[in-house]
Amino acid sequence: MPPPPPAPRALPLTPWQRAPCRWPPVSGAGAASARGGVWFEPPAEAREEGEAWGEAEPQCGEEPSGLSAAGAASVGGGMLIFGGADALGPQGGTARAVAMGASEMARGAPDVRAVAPEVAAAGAEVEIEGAGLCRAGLVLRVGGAACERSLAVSAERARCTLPRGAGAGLNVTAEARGMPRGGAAGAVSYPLPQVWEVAPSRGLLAGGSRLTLTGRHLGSAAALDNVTVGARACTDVQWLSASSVSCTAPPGAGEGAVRVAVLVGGQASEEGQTAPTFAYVHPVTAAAPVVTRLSPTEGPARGGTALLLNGTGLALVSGVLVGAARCEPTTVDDVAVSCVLGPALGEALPLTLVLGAPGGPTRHVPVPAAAAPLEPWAPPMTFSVFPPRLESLNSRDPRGRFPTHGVPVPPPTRRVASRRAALRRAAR
Amino acid sequence: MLRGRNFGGAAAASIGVQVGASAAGEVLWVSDAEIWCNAAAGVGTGLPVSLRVAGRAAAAAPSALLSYDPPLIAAVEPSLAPVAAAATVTVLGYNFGPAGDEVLPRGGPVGVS
Repeated sequence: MPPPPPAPRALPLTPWQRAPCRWPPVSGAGAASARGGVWFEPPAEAREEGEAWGEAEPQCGEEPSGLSAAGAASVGGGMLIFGGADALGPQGGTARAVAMGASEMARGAPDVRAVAPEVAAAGAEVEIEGAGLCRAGLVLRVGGAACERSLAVSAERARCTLPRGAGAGLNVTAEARGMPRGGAAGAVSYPLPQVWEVAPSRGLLAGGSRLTLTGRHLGSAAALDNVTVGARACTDVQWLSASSVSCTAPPGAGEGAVRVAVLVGGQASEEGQTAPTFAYVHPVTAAAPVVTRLSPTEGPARGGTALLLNGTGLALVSGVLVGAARCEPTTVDDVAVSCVLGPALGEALPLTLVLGAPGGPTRHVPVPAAAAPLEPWAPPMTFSVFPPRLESLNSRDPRGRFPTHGVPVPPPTRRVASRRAALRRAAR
Repeated sequence: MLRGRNFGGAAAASIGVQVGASAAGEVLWVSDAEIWCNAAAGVGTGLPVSLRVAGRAAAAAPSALLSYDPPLIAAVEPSLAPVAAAATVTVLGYNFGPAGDEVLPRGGPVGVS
């Protein structure tokens, strides 16, 4: 016959303290913990329904060994309650521990006194030192943003998994359910943002190149203050990830390479030899791009074929001509240009790259039709329109015959007549 | 009306159509798949139609052949002719083709022996 659990003592318990915990119905356990001096009264409805142990929060302190079968014990003068066991026996094999002294229970709001390390990146864990941290619903905040994970290790120590963010000297605060916010004496800084690559690495003096910056510690969309190319701000800045940002290059002040920098949470990217540059070039004097591959090399006359040109230095391309037909670029970067071909006719049409922005100086660079010397098996860099094909003749005679005196053009259909009238107007 | 493919996505291309040996006069580009042209006066059946778009000859499907209406004889005058001597008869009808064609000219002399 197990000893009956001690009667609950009248203590000013918060709702949390009442809700998830109750005396375990495990035989032989519980009596040992009586010295801790704090008891948790099970909610009446839980008792009636024979409900399993609720989540025992907070889980502070090291998980003791050898307690898997017990429901309660005293550790170090504190009260230990662990769940994962119910009337039917241990559940899932986990013994979740709550170690909490009576003095701690009576303490007020959690305090933060120190944070280490002082500089850490998003996703890293920082150690918080303070008091009263072993609380239900503990939320640690860095500069106002909740940590991705707030974990109390003991009443004096907690860990915060840093959320995405940026900035220096951000206050760390602790909150607990039903408690006022405590004092904050620790601060943490995110590392300086770094950018190590800009693609494409060169573009037109007139600006407009879509740049992709690669690096790290680029913060969050909200924390990204600006991107500068030389002394000017990059426009249409888009934060893609903590390691990638894209923006549209502003017009350059002159030809030559300029530094690309980011400002994240008030912190400028590191300067030094690794800082990437973007070179402004003039379309007329720039080195000509090289096309090494074209695909597909044939398509229908009505247009609409999506062409892909691969090569190098293609970032300067603002247009592509196939014979005399325009191929409207959709995406352009240093190694590839995609474009949609308009209506075209002819065989083995040569390609011409148009460099330079519309309205500014432009340059036409013909693409040699011969295959690249290193790839003699590759198809030539020309485009052929499918040959015309005549499939049927339509006469108005049901047997398909035509009158011997001939048929004038066009037959009296409204669609054709209006098309012809439009063509004649255009010709005038 | 000529139906097919790759006639060009715009009207600017030069288009030539020939039926047998005679070129069609006016040609009207309608779309990438449709061209209208006049069929010149003529006779014959199974005549090839050749189409050139911007200098390239179109491959023609076997069904893309042109046939004119067959001749139709309505009457022969005179209806009686001497058996022993050559005589001139007039054949009246339709679809005898344009004058000067190699086929029978309309109302032309026909020797009957």
